[in-house]
Amino acid sequence: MVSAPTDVQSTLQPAKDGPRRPPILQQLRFLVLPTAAVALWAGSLPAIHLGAMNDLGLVSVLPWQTWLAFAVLTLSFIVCLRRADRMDWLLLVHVLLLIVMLYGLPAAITHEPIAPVVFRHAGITENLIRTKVVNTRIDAYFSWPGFFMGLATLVKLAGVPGALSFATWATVAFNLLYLLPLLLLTRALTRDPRLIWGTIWFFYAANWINQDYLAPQAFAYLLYLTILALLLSYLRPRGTDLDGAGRLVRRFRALLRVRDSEVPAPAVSHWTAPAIVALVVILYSVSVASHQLTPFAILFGVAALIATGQCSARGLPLLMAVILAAWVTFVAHSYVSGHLAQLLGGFGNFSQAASANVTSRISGSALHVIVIRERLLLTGGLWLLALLGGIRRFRGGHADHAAAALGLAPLILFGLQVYGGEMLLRIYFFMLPFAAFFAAAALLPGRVSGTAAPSRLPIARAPGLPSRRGGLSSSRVGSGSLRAGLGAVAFGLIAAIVLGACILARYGNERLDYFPPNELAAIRFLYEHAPLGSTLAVEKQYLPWRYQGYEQYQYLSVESMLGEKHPPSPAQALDRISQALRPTAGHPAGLVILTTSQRVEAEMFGGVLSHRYLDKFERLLRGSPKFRLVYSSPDAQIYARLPG
Amino acid sequence: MGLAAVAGAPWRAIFALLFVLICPGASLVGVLGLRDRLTELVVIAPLSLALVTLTSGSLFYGHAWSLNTEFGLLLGLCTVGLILSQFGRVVRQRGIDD
Repeated sequence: MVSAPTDVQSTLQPAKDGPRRPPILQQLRFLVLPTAAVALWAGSLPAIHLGAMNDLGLVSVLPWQTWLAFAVLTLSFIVCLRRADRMDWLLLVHVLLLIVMLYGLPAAITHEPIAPVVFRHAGITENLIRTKVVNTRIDAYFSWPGFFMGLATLVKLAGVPGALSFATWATVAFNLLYLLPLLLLTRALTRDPRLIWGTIWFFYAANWINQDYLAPQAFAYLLYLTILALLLSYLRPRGTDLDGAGRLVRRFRALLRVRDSEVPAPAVSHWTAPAIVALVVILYSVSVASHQLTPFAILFGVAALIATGQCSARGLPLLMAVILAAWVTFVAHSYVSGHLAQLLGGFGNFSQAASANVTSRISGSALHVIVIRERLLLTGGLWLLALLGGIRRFRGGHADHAAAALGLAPLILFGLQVYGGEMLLRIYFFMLPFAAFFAAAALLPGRVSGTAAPSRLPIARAPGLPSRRGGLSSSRVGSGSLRAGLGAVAFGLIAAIVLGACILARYGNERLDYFPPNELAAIRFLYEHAPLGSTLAVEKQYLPWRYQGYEQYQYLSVESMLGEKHPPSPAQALDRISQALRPTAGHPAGLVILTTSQRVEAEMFGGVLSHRYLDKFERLLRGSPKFRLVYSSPDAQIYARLPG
Repeated sequence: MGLAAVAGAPWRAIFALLFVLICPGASLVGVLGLRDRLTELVVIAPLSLALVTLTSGSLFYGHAWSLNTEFGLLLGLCTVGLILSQFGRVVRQRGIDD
């Protein structure tokens, strides 16, 4: 006998006894502002000239119409948020528009993929399709190739020339995919529809990290959101289970004052719970095969849920740890054993982590430093807002232990590894759904389960739940309405500021990531003419290449030479390149590729390659009798090594 | 597959994307007995992508990856998923009737 999980409906969906939905024509008038926003946004695109960008990135060339479009969309969202319980489809439309307008902005302007790493990912996929073998000796990507294997299947099935065909709009696609798990996750945290949609808006408006392009991280993040949403929605213990643990754990939970969540645990059938666990294990295994970091974030998140009594699958972290260990031991061992010191070197070294993730990143041109400082301000501001929201929620009697645990768990990653100076970015990304939840809760007017809602801000009621301290009683509805209005204004203002700051922060590297058509044409020329097995030399490895013949060429950069103990002069560097590119038996002549983006990268980020150094190197190259110019355009030159 | 090939490159790409995003997950989601439309919608795309990754991974590591083998495996998985979903529905219905 399988019991029908009737509670699932009431838990996973908003309360159905809320105010009635107004007639459809009345609702349609709320589409006027979003339509205007889209028209403004689309109309502003032809006026954006990416070639004129400075080191502030995309914002330096955005016309006022684009800004107005985002402002109008935010205003419209706030207007609709006040009616969240009756017109959630309108809020969904707003979020979808935000995703397309914000995340599709570069794609709508350039119609080309951006950032070198995307081209590289296309190259890994091409390697798998061409060789049909996973060669773990090539580089670290091949020890975690899950994402690229799936992408290889998609590329072949679609009959497109390569993975780059999907890269331009991949960011929009991934963010659309995040929406449903995010909705389920937020619905497992609160029953307040305004807080649900406020959280989702904040999530998208504050995601400046830019890790959602065609990459394993973007794919693994979808699995991260889905796993947490499923666990919180289906494997939440009932009240009596909170005490079902050892003495230490019970004391820990008592210290945290763990109670039942605002959203009651659903009654699931004896079939559904194991099915959810099996599904979680499948999704987790795929994340382990696809990305180095995300499985750790999931593991810590699930462990934090269990420690705080918010998940009934107590054996899950152990199983996850075994899967992770098995992958590292049997599949990724060649990479791990070769880089053990590098992987474990940062363990527990917080000062090194702080230096690599914060202080050493504040460098580069004056305008780029402004962008970096603004990113730090945005990150700190959102976390501070989330902290205030957390304090407000807990003081209001809400048992948001699950959101707090999941919001704090990614911080453990900080002391584990430097992750190329990107760990803080990834931590922000993993924390974002929960930081957005508490940040929205800090601003939205407090709503109390089981009490009357303010008349101007109707909300769904959650019947059967006890009243919370700090909520609005029926006698305080009048003042509550005013507070609600002020709260909505505050939310709107902060949301608009966060969105504006996100556009600056997210697209602050756009001058660098945008490759002019001339550069793309030069790289196409390169692959048409460079013989397989030849060496390709550059000043900096920042160009749209390696999307084919990934392992079939050797690569050399001046920048890597300058990292040595005794860095060579420009003449010595050219001499070494000349030697490496010289044609010999079995080794065809190599090429040197100079592009505008390499100069821009050196200019923006500073580092060891100075302008003077590059100028001298290029002057020597142009005058060298050993090289001949074979391709020239305003943004790229290619020199071939002559015999001798 | 044949249909996609006939339909031409843009349509083939769209068919392929929809197939990879929806079909394996949608055919298997019924087996889970989630009984909540939103959760089922949430699960379809991640499960589909996970199954495509798992099957292609198995074939790559088994040195047997090719488009035809992969597509055949996915179609087989979809068929098995649909049969199991129907079977599970009947079992659950009997359970409720009893």
